[in-house]
Amino acid sequence: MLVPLNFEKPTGTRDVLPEKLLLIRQISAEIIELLAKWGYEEIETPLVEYHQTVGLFSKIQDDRLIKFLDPLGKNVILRPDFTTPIARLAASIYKDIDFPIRLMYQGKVYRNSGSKGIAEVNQIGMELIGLASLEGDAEVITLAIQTILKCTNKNFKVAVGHTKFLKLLLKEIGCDPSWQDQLFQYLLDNDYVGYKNLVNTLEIDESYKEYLVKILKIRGSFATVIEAENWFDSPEWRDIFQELSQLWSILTQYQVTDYVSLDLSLVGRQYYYTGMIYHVYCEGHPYPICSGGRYDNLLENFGRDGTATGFAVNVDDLLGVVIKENGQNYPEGKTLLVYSPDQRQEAIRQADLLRAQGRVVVMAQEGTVTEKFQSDFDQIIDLDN
Amino acid sequence: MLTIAVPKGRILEEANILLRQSGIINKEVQETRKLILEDVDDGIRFILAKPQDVPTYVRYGVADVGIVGKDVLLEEGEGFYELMDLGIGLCRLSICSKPGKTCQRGELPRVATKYPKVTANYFREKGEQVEIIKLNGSVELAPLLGLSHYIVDIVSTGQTLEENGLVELEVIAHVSCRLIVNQTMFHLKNSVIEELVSKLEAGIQI
Repeated sequence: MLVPLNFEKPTGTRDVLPEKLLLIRQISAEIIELLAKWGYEEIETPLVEYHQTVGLFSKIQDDRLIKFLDPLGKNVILRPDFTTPIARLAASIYKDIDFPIRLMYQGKVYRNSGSKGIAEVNQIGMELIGLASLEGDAEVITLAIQTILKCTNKNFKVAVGHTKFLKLLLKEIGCDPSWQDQLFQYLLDNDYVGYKNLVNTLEIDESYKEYLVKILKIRGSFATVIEAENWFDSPEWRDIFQELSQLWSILTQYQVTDYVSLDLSLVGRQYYYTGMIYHVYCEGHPYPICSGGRYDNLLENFGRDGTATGFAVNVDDLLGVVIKENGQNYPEGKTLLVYSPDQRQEAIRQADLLRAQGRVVVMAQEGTVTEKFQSDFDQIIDLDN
Repeated sequence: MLTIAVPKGRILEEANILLRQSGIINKEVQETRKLILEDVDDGIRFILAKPQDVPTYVRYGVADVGIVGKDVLLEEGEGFYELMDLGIGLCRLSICSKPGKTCQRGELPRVATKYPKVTANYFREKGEQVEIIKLNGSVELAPLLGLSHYIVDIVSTGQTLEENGLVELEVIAHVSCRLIVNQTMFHLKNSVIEELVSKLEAGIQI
């Protein structure tokens, strides 16, 4: 083990300097304002949670949690997401509050990235709890789109999948359930080659193999995915297309379908997500910038029956695609007020007046600041002159 | 403009033939000192990279797509779409050793390889604990010099093994080149990618 040098911080963590932080604050404020107008209320949860509760129920895998012992000897974790603590909250402090509950959050989450150290992620997100209908999914997808629109005019697309689709397709086909997990895993890993190779070895009808491979290419508007509607005729199959159709029509009314692409091969972790899931891909950012979905079984872990859906966006990633001037630190200007000790009273009076007008005022005794320091100010008042 | 990362060396020759057969390029990508090649007519730019770095360029989106062996993907790979098997660069990733019994009972087997992750996973799944020695090339030297009992490496014709008196014991994976695509590119320029895939699918048949 190398001894840390004085300038080092734990691997994976970052310092944020004023210009960048200001931009983060501005963007965050805009997103929070947007969500607030839709009735979302901001809450905060502890940075530390119990491993036994939030740690186990979180969708973040156990080896990606940062764990340690609290002073009482209990296993605790740094919160790996906000979704799970909010589920805890909705089932406890909010247990007498009627559904639907709309909550939003901003803050850091922490994950164990192995040799890359501690991943410290700055998130903003929202949770819509207790609204089981597609109205809920459509609201969350629309807000994810509006969030990205607030920040950038770059090209982006929301890929929307349905967790139940592949499971149902495999059932209709009569595929041996033992293959299900492996096929899901290939799609989760975006490994289409592995998926197709496995499909080819399955002992099923050739036409069914075609279906399984075809879903890799069916993505687009509802008019595109409807191609698969007549593959089977069971009530469950019809239901899933009914759901996609209804979602699409609500999104049409929200006027956001230009940004949406239904994607039949998009799956989420099957024991966590229960319905629609989505990833937002934005030009200029190599992987999803925002993700979300429906997890109707999460709350029940904390003792309250309730559905939930929501999204989270990584604010640091968002900064990368923001098309905006760097944050203006001092919109009204910045003054340096230079005084000698016997002028201090007068200097304090003048500084207060200027600050009241909205200017930033820094006071300095004469002869104590360099010329380079002074060059940062657009106005210098020297009480001697 | 589409940026394609291709590996320098052995695979590039086969990739050139496939890309031409598929009608994606007119003239071959030449391996020179120049690392970025623009082929303006075809609207394609090539990045010549070390094979192990191709996944990295695609993951970070500085290349839209990449051509890379499955051996590299097994070692380096996630964070992009693995879209198609290009059927070139065929070989296998195998465990090899000197002939006969090489490791005494109770001794911790030592395995030299360029692929420490794949090797660790493979032996773990077999229920064996081994010591892995990372080498960067000429892995066949390790058993000859007594550095390791086994090696895990790429075998294509088996000629190198034969010339060094080594034998292939087990195949870990059959390897071929894959087309990988950046996630955002895949979703934002899906029609461009699908067109590339169908051209390549047609090219493979030739």
